[in-house]
Amino acid sequence: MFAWTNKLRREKLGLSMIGGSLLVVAIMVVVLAHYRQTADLNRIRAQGLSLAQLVSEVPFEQLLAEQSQNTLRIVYQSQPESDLAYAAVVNIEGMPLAQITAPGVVLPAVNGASKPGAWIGERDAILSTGAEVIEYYAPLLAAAEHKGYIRIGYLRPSLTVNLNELPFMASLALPVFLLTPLFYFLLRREIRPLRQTHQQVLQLTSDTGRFKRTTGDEFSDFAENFNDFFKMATGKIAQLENERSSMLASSKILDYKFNKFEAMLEAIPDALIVLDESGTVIFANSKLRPVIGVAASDVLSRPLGSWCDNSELFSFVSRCQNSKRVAVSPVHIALQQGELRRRISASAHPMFAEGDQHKPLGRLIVLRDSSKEAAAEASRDEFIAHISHELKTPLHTMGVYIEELQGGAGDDEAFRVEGLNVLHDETERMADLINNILSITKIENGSLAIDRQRVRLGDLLNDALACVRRSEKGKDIKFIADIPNEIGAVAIDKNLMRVAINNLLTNAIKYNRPGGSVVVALEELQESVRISVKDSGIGIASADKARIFDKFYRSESAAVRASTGHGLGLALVRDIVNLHNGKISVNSEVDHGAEFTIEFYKESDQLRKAS
Amino acid sequence: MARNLPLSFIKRATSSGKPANAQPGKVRISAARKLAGSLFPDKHELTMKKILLVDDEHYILRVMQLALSRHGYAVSTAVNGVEGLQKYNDENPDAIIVDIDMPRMDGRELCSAILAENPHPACKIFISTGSALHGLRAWAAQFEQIMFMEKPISIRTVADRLARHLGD
Repeated sequence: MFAWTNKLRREKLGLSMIGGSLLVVAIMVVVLAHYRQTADLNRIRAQGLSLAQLVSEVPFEQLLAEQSQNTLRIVYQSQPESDLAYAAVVNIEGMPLAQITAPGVVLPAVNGASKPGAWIGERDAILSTGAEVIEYYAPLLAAAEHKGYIRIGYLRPSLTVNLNELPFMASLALPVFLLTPLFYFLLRREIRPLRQTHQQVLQLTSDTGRFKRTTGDEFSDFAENFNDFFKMATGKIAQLENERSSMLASSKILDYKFNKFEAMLEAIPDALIVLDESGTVIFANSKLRPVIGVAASDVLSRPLGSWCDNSELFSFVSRCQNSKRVAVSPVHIALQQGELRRRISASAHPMFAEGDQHKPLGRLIVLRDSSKEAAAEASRDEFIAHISHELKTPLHTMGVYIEELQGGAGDDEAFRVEGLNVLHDETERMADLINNILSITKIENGSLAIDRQRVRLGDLLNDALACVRRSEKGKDIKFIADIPNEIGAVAIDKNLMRVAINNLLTNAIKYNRPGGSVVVALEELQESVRISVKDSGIGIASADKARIFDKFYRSESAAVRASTGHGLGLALVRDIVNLHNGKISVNSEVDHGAEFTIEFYKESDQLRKAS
Repeated sequence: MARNLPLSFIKRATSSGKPANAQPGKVRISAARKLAGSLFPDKHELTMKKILLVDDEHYILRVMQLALSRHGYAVSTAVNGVEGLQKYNDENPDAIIVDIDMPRMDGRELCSAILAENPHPACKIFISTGSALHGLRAWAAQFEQIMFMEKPISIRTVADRLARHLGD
């Protein structure tokens, strides 16, 4: 029962359409019946009036004669299957003189008209049976005298349907009735998508349990559910919009953090590569190009083998990939770029998720251009090698002399004297070397702070000259001092300047000729002072001039090599002069002596700027 | 030989009052020859093995010459690679002791020049240096004719190695 009810509810549309079509058919029938009634009325009126007028033309006497019955019968019978109720001849008073009626009909009484204008016309009457009659009447004249009326009555046509007209009615109603299922079928087909949409809406909202209207009216259900769904969807959209806004804000914060993080990674001076577990590059900073000559964009999302053509680097990174958990010790990788050979220091570090130190997410490879360190290491090694060589040489000399003195040669007095002098010279040589090395090292690593004092340069130079004059080395040399007394004190580091001047004087003696001269001059300029040390010795070849201030450089000239040396004296002089912000220059020709000139400001830079 | 030797130390230490223009080199060489000659009679000089010392350190040349002479070798000296190569060709020594860091032609160039002329010379080549430069030992190791003696080294050790390689 309930199922049927539901089914009927679901098919309400069809039933409504059937009802509608029946209503249309009924209206059609009514309209037709009304039309029929109107047509009958008109026909009756036309017939009645014409018959009444026709009969009024008949002489009154004839109507009353025997034949009159026949006339009325003819009239009556001329209207077969009509609604003619009666035909009667009445006198002026209304008394029937002759009449013919339909079966069961009694001539109704009516008032006669007094005025000639009302002798002819139409009026309603009611039969004794209660039926309504339309009566048409006309005057009857005899010798221009009014004798009576002819009355012809018709039953008023009712609003009924004649059974004979049913086929006609049916033929009109049938197409209308047949259109209904066709229209219904077409309509159902057209609304099928709508129904499916409705089902989807119901399914979509089934979780909420809020929108299951099943009143039986598909359209209203759909409309209601759809409205509800639309409201829900609108609410949901608003909610999603809010969520989207907050997500957008979060995304911007994340973007900002990411950009900040990326900027930090970009600011790191080393090249960074991040590899995922499969060995594909997932991040690389822009330092990659200056360090290994490959752009970051060329390596992103690519496996190592497709862009790395350096076998050492490839081997290192592969090794890192294989050792999952621990950092791989940094290695040095030689990189050849054109004619440029560089050294890259590579290190690898595993990256773990927070709280999980067992499974690495990937690996961070840090590449650093350590060419400068390599050069510094090489330079340091070379420096140590030089020092080692410079120390071993006098040690070797001393060792061999001592060994000889201990042996048979020591019995010879001349050799003993020679040996003692060699030992003395080589000891001095080593002491000078060590002092110079210490001074140079301190100056170059910045640990030696310049200690400026007011120093009278004339006194300093005269002291230095007196010292070398007294020494054994200077016995054969003529020293000339061109040092004016009036030159005032200057701000210099006295101890360092003494070392520099001593080194210059030592060289001037060492590379001089027997009986040669050394001229030491001091000159005061407007802001600076100039010291020059000039000798009359072997001179300096032009090829050597550019390098004589380099550490450990010694001319290959045999005349230079005839004297012992370690190639640090002039390097130290240069460093000391630089420390005083001064300048050193050399003027020399081979075999014509050499003149070294030092020039520096009388006051320190700060004092000059202050003044 | 004597022209390059600064021998002022003899004057300094002896204080014997010799004039400044004296010829100390002659004094020293005659003393060395006198010493060597006293130990090794002239009859042995023709059979003595010849050693060529090449070093830019004059004291080393001086004392090594003296010491090796006392060990019975005929010793000549050169102060650089060019002179060393010249004397090598002129004197055809049995052994050559070469320093590395020298002017004009260094020890490495000298050895290369000798081996370029004859990859298997009869002369034994010793490199004697205090240099600790990288690659020097590796360079020397690639030539089986070259032996390495690192300074400082005693005369006794030098003499032993010479005796071993020269078949004394």
